[in-house]
Amino acid sequence: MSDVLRVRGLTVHPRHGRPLLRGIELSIEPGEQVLLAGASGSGKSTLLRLIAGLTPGPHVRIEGSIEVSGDDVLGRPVTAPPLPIGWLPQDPAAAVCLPRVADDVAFGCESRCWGVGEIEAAVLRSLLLVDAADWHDRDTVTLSAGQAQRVGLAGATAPAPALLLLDEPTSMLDPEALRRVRAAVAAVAETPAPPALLLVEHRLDEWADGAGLPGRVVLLEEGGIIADGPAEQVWRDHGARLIAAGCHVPWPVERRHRPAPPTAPTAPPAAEPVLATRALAVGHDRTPIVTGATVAVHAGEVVALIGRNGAGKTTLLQTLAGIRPPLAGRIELPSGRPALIFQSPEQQFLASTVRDELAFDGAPDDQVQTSLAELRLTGAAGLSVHRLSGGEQRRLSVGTVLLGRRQAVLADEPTFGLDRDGVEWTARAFRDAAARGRGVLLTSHDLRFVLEVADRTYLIHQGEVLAGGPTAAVLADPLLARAGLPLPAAVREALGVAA
Amino acid sequence: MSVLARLNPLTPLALITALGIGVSFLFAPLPTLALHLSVVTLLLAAGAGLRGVVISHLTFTPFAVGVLATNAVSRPGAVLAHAGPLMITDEGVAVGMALALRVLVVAVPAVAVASVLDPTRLVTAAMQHLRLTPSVGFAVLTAHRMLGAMPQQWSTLLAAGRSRAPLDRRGRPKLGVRGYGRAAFGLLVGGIRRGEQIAGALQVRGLRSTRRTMRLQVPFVRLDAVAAVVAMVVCGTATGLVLVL
Repeated sequence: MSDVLRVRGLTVHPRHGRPLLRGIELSIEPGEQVLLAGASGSGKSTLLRLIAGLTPGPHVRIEGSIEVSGDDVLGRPVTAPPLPIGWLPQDPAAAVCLPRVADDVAFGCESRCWGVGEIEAAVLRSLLLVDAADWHDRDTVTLSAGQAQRVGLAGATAPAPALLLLDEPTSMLDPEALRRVRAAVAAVAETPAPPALLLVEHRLDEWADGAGLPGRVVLLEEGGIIADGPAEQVWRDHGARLIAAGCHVPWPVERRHRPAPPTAPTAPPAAEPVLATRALAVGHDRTPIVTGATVAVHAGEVVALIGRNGAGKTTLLQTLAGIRPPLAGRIELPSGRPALIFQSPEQQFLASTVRDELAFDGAPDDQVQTSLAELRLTGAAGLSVHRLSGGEQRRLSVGTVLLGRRQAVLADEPTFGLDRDGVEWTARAFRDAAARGRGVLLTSHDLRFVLEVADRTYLIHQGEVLAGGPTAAVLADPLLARAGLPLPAAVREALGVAA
Repeated sequence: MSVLARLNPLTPLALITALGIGVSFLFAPLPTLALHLSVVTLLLAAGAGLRGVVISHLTFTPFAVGVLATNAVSRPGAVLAHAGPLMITDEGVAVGMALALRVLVVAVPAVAVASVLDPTRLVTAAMQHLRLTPSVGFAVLTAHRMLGAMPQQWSTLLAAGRSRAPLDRRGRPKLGVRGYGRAAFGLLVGGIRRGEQIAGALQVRGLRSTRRTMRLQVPFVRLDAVAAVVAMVVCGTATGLVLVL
């Protein structure tokens, strides 16, 4: 059987620095499922973009060849018919581009000049596959992130591609939305003539809980393939190396190299509150999303808010930060106005270079130098903040806020898109801030991170703040599963609870 | 569904274009006023919505008043009154009123119609009947979707700036002109980045392939002809009657 994907001697030279990809040799058979793994910056996204026919940036020199179903990808005119490729990017806003769901899903079929009847049938079939048949005429602006990714998957699979490229499709989703996207991908794989699948994904632990991860793993390091084979063999031979490089790996693999499962921090002694609410109601345009919220954060502790996408976590944080007016109730801020770390780091940068960003709040030069070293950004001090990688931007956004003087710190999804190393760095940064007497309130979909970082946790479910207790007790509560927050394997083992 | 929503979107746009050309031949205020009242009546009858018509009037009335005031004091003619050192003339008032009404005649229906048109039907009709290329048409639709999200992104950027800005004596963040400038730069960078991602996703899906199926069709139907004739007869009659009388 001829390969769906054949990559030969692929090397990508940027204008300066080391190659982004080095001598890549990769073949994928029809219907085969492959996981592309590697640390941040190893070249996973660059390889995926090149296979999809997109250039990785200006001023690069590309050697080698890529064939998809026998068609050359490199140098293919943009006006040629599209390759038999489906592509689901990380950002739901890029996955769905047109105003109406059916039109967006139909787009790839229209580009391939299918007949109108065939297109309508493919749209219905694809929406059914991702459990979204009711959304046919829906305005895409009204879709949540998880819903948009499922519609994006329907659009990617409607033209029956030979190869499906998934580039971290669940990094912005809550556990329940992740479960639904994962189920949709599994449903695509079970169709009579499934596409081959090339998956890049950080949340391997949660992904492995469902239909399982692909049986073949290709491992990238510094732009080159260092392993390609059955998943079990690659994890066995290279698991320790991946963990050391800060990658996410499935929990059973990580477990072999860790003495113990993750543990919750020890709760600090009671201290003065830096932030407290009484019967607070928050929402948009006078429509409440969360009501009766009574939350407290004390100096020296890290507190987590968990809940599904759209539960009101971000709205609550923004109200506490003074960005939105409360609809009812009281907010007490004995230590003054809190600082807020935004979900997207780029949204909160106020200076042009990394050094200026760290000095923005008046930090002296020696403190800026120390921070640059702590953030591992000394070499990037003079760079534009917009030229940093996603992980570097996240470290900088956390670092700048923690350098400021505000006692209460709010953080909205501070670990999304980060590799394991980045998640651990963020947890340490918040614990250090708490140890210095600050109070941190954060939201996260990563329940393992929540277990590792938070002294206490509140659950937001159906518009109410529930269960504000010690993190381990809250996560072990069966209410969590009913609230659409299934625990990942590492947390289940740490808490001794069943799946 | 309203008449406007059932029309081919190019029909009201063509009528508004014709209206713009027609009104440029009117110099007297009363016929222009009659034309405007008939246009407003037609808009309401076609389902443009009273709220939209009122808002578009409120939006353009200050500009129209400015046009009237400027002309009233800057043209020769018999002096009607003095406004400080300026003289209000009869010719100035007449021309000013006609020009001000022209603004309303063209702008009010344009805004009222644009607010109820379905962008997908408009772009599809333009691709089908005006030879707009699909790559441009779909790029416009995508840009329309991005523009819709920009007010929210702007609010988020300002909020981000305020969350770190130095506080004043009353504990409120001082954003300042530089803060707004940084937010504008952030909006620009974010827009470019988001646009790049969407362009890539659309390219993979065949945005620029030279041949494609036009699955959606927006034909001209009998209602379009009826609407065009009714609009021209009503506007022409109302204006003509006032001109003759």
